[in-house]
Amino acid sequence: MSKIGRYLLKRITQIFGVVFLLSIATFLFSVNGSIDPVDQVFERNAGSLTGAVAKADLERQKERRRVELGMYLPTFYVSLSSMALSKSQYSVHNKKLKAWVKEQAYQGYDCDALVAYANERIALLAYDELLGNDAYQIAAVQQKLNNTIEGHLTFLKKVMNLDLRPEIRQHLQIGERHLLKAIEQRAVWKTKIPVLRFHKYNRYGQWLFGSPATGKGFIRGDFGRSIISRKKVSKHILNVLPWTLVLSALSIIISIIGSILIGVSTAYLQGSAFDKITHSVLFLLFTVPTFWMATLLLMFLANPDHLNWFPSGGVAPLQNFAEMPSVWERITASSKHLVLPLVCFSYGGFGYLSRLTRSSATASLNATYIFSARARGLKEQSVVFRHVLKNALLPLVTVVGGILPSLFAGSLIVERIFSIPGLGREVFNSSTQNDINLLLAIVTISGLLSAIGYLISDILYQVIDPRIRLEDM
Amino acid sequence: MKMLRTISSSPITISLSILVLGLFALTGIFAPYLANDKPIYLKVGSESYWPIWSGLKTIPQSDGSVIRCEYEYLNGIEGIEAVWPLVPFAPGKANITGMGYPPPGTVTGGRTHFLGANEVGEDTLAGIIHGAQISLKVGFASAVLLLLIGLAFGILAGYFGNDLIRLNALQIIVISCSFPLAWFYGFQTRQYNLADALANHFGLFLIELIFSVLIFIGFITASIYLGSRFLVRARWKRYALPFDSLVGRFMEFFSSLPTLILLVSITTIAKPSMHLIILIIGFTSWVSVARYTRAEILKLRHSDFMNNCKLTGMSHTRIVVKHLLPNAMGPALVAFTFGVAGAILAEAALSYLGIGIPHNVVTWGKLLAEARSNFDAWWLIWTPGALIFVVLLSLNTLGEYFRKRINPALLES
Repeated sequence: MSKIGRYLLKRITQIFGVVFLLSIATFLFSVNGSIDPVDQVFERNAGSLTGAVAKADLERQKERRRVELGMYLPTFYVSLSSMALSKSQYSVHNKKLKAWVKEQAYQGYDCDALVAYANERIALLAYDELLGNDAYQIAAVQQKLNNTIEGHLTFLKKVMNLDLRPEIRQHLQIGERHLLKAIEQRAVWKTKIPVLRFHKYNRYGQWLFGSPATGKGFIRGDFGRSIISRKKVSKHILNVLPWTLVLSALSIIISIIGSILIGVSTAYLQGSAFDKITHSVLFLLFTVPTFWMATLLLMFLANPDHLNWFPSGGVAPLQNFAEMPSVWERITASSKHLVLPLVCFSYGGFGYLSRLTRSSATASLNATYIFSARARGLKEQSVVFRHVLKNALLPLVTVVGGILPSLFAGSLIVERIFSIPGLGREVFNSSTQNDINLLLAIVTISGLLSAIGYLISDILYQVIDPRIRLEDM
Repeated sequence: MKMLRTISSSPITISLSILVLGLFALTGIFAPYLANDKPIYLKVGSESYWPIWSGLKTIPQSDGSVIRCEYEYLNGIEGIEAVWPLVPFAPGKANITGMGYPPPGTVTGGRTHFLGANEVGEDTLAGIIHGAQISLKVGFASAVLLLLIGLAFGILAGYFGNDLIRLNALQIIVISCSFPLAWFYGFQTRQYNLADALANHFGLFLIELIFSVLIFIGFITASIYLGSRFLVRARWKRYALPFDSLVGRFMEFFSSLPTLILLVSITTIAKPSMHLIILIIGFTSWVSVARYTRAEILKLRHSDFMNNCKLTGMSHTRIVVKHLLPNAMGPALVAFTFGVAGAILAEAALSYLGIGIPHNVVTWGKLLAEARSNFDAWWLIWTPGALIFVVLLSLNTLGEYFRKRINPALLES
């Protein structure tokens, strides 16, 4: 294989490595996060519900959804846990009881027996006929429940003293038997022994390779469905990506052109007052935090009491935008909205790139080949444009790849402040609701884009400066 | 025109930045004594109290009543001697008499809002002084963390390289098995102890955490000792450990992380806390420190004094700690300065967006965000924003200066 082919292969493998590590890390954080997406979905309905029975019904719906989403599967292919736990813990399909079983098992109580008890309790919960008096009586006792294993035993004893229907009583009796067995077979030494377990069916695997419930899997290009809205994640992303792309592309173009102009001219007029003032202003500009700049711009230029030149948010006028016939009209209508975000988007990169271009242009202006070009009698224009400019572009190329990810990040703040329906806003929405599929898609895509950005800049670097060999990087 | 020497290197700007940073640090450290609605010193009858120092909230009296150590309460009582902080307001505490954006200089109930207040009468200056503390904590702690991680990886890659350490397969197996074991005994079996401690008391949690970390480190150290002492003689095949390549891959991974997206999503999904922000910033931005340290050590690796060290039979630890670290500190200092700036900026941005930092904590970013609902409150826009800007500017100026002094060729990456 050729050198370039081998280099590309190596880099592409690295990019995939980055994406998978990133997805695993995000996955673990999301799974262990304190926000439950299913709770978020049902939150809207929960407020209007009153009464124990309706609430119990809501809980049942939630659990059904959790099972549907595979939330009770193991997280990853491998797990390291104590010997006291067993694989049967994943068959407890109830959030609270599952956490309880795990906690008790870590105190040495027999896991299988605990699981059996928990499943009896779940069966009790799922009893559709468990209405009226029985439910109220049990709920009344349950309110005083002490969450230790002894607490559960006393709960069972108290409940069985009540006047209940025989089928319910039977569940309780079996449950008590299992609970007693769990206490009897307690083995604290088991908690101190680590065991490595393999899980063929797990949440990450389902996300990666797909399952009947979740779709074809990430590896085949299917991001699955959003947990909250149940729409396709790819649809979500395609809806929001254009605005982010428009903003980032425009701001990259603006800052590159601007910084070449400023950088080369200041380098050419090195030491003049213009150079010094520009240099200082750029240094200041580079440091101004984006959110402060945005607030100031909004205060001065989008304030009805001051100058109301620009709208304060959004990407297009709310009225009549969809009915506008020509594309040109749409562009002019929304361009007014994009000015302030674009300024906030570009000034940081502009300040940074200008300083960089200036220093590299200075270096090449002082180089001997410029001296010889002038000595050959070349016109000043061609010296600047053909010799200085080309060499001054070199650092720009490397940095552009590097600023791609920071542009995405910058879009996060700017989009939020100016309420632009872009990728950044979707990051907020998906993370406040812990919408794992959407979040994973966004994080992996932005990781992929930034890795590709680095690759492109490295290759361009080699194209522009043949002295640098690919193997060096 | 001589005043217009490039701003980043004139001696005036350097001393100015140091002055600004010194003031910032002092304000942050003494924030509770500068702005508080408790008195610094209080004399009730013949008894003396130091309420801020001792965290005193109420003083029980002989007649069964209690004296609350708060300005609003104490101000009306006769016969009490009190020394008040410069700003007798607590941050984030609503003031009923000063509602509705009072402008700077408004006097309410005997106290002056030097820099105005917000809608519910929370004093801006008190918020700014305590916000300095948060910024200082986040900036300094995450920079220390990223410095430590970066130095560790830089040394690992630069000093140990790809072929310095050769281990046999048995040693490799034992040492690599010790990591999951250390994790299991340090954290997994103790997870409920840690969670309980966190729910009860943060100090207790810290002790439990240190205990866990000690167990973790203990296991790894024990396995390395076991490996280097007893398993060396095993006649298994020996391999060189490619630390340099591994750390290189690792650095590539971390430098292509979408840091801000991760920061936002993780702090939102987990419970808001300052410590989490510090941890995430520290763990995601150590790459430049590692890169500088590695480059610096590679330069020294084949120098004469290093050969001398090796010939005299010094241990790796001694060489690294006594000879390499002092030499590698220069570039690390540059990265440290920029790291503090980056962390302060990230924290301010997060709290401006209303995530990450708990709701009851006042920060500069949060003060600035309050201004967005009322642009007439210019004091809320200009003061926190300008302060963030000035602190960042000083840090960047200082960083640039260090960079030029230490190694002019060192470019930001």
